[in-house]
Amino acid sequence: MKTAGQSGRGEGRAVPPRLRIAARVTAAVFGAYGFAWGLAAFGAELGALAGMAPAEAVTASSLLALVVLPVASLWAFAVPRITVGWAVLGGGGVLLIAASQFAGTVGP
Amino acid sequence: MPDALMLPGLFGLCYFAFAALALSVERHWRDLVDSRRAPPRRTVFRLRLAALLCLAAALSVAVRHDGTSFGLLLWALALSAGALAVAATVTWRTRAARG
Amino acid sequence: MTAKKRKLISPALRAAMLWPHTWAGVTLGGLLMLIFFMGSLAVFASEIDRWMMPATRVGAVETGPASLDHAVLPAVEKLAAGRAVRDWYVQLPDERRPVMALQVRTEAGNAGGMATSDGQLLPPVGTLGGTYFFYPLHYSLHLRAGFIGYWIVCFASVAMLAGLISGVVIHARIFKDFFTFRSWGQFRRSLLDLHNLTGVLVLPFHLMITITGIVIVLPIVLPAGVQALYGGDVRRFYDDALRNYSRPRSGVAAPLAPLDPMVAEARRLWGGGEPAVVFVYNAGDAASVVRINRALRDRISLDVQPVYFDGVTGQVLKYQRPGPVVATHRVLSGLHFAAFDHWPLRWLYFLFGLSGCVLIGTGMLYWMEKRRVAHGVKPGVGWRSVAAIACGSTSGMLIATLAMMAANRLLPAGIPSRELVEAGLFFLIWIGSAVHAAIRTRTDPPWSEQCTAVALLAAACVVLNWITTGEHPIRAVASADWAVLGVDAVLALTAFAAWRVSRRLAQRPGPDLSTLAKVTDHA
Repeated sequence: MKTAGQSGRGEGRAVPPRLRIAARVTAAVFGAYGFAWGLAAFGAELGALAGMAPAEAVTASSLLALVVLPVASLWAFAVPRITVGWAVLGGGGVLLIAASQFAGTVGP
Repeated sequence: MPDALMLPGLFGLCYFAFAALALSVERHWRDLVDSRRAPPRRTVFRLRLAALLCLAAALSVAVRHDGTSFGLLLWALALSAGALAVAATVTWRTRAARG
Repeated sequence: MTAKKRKLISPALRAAMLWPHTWAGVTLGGLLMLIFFMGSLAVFASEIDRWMMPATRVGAVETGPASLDHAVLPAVEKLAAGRAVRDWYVQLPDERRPVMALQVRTEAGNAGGMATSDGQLLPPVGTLGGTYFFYPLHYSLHLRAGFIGYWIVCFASVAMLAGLISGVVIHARIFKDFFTFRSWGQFRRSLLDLHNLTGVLVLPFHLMITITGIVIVLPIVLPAGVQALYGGDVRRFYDDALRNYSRPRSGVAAPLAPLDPMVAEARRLWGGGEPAVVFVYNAGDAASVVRINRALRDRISLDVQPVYFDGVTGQVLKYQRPGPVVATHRVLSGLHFAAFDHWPLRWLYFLFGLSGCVLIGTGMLYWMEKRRVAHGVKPGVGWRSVAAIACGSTSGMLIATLAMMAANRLLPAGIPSRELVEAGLFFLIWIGSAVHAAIRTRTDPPWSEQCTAVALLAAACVVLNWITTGEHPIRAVASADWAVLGVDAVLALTAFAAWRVSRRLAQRPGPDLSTLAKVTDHA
């Protein structure tokens, strides 16, 4: 089964294709969702800090996160190196969640 | 504009718009109009301009009759309906032309 | 010829998008087919209800608007059957559902029923119909525990969005091939053409319907914002966002004030419009609350503009419009729900929903035809499994739907839990069709056999409606019963189309692998 996700980087690392596909798929499913989660949480906190009513802030940030979600999932397949993909999606998601927690304690 | 005329008018305008666009595509022009040459650039321009005008008119009809939100929604969906109808027509006529 | 074209989408990107597009389609195609098909049926759920519940075919609302005090309250009392009522609500009659639907919660449990607009209770309808079977199947797969159904449907929907976006990226000549459908020649090429056609030409609808569907339940499937600002309390979020109001029982008994004046006041506050649903919370209590929702017939937004009244004094307790972002969310949700009274739009939703099924189906068929070459004349288990699932989730699902509607006409009225028997039959027959597909798939799934079954069942439904209710299409026209006429017409069309397809398939020779390998799909 030929997978198009790899861009044929034969950089001397013998990573089995199954593992590469698994890395891409988990990044697309869980990494992207985690990133969207972080976006929604941080966006909601930002909105509340900016003076939006909480229900408004939650709705706005969730809608934005929803638009980003499928794009992020597809990006997990488009990015040439999946480690970069995991760093951005997974790492970014964690960062955003941490930022939202911080904003939550700082805010009113 | 009377109720009964609005819908046929809307779909008719969308249909003509996409028919003009279809004919401006070289493959369909060759299949349906003139198999020897590609459509001349002026013709392509005129066809696409006509399509744009028909689509604008269709939007105006929809919004005048149903208000902004329903009109916009109806127009957006009528576009797809018109395009599908034109695709069906192109297939049917191309099959017939091929014999 | 393409020498000077600037590359908007690089071949590498195109290649990278191919794998997720293909595998999301192959693994989730069956589920998405179900969601799109049941969603299309849900557009006309009320009409399907009229067909499946003949007692509710009372024609236009003849006796005028239902009086809450004179028609609804007595019906509530009858449903309560002497037990103390805690809360109740009534969905008032409208054009599409000319009877009222009541739900009463007593200390002993729930009691529901339908009544004509003058308060006459109808006998139990004995079916879940379109509104309580096909529609919930669409958005939750009837899996309610922990909202697991919502999660699964939304996961598939996000995958659908990814499929739509990746599909556009993959499509090599989106404008040149805009109107191209080569229905002659190689079957595989025709499939791809049709897949591209239904995908590209109806793309605005597919994008809109998929994203708005997820938007409706967004706080449930992406609760990060609610977690952040409401500590995870989704109810408090909804109360805040939708301007709801509630208060606990006081324990002191008090009579309910007349409801009809409250409706008039609500109309005044709305600046016009009809009431759609009336709720009474803490019935018979001093802290009772009456909530009146506005009908959504004349607008896109799902905002029901709830007005809350004190149940004892009739004073307005709360009426507050939502903020701009929540109002936008209501409009987006309304775009999906299509609760508005605009028949051309509803038919377009129905047809485009079915075009989504064609999109998904042609995708699965294309994969099957393409892989057939790789797998040789006798495909292996993998291909046969995908093929069987494709068959079971298309013609099999149609068979189950039609069999349930036929059972609705055939099952005797008195059997206990009749609605559950109907639903059980749906799932049983669906499983049977899937098993049939699995067993009979050798080089091809049994399309012709299942299409024949679809044709026979659809025709049988029309005939059974005639026999069991006496309402044949001509009589439906005479009594202006457009709902039943519409359902019968679609059934008849389905029977005709399925029969034609079945005959064509039975005559088609088997796939010729020697030529299949040579076809270039994008020529």
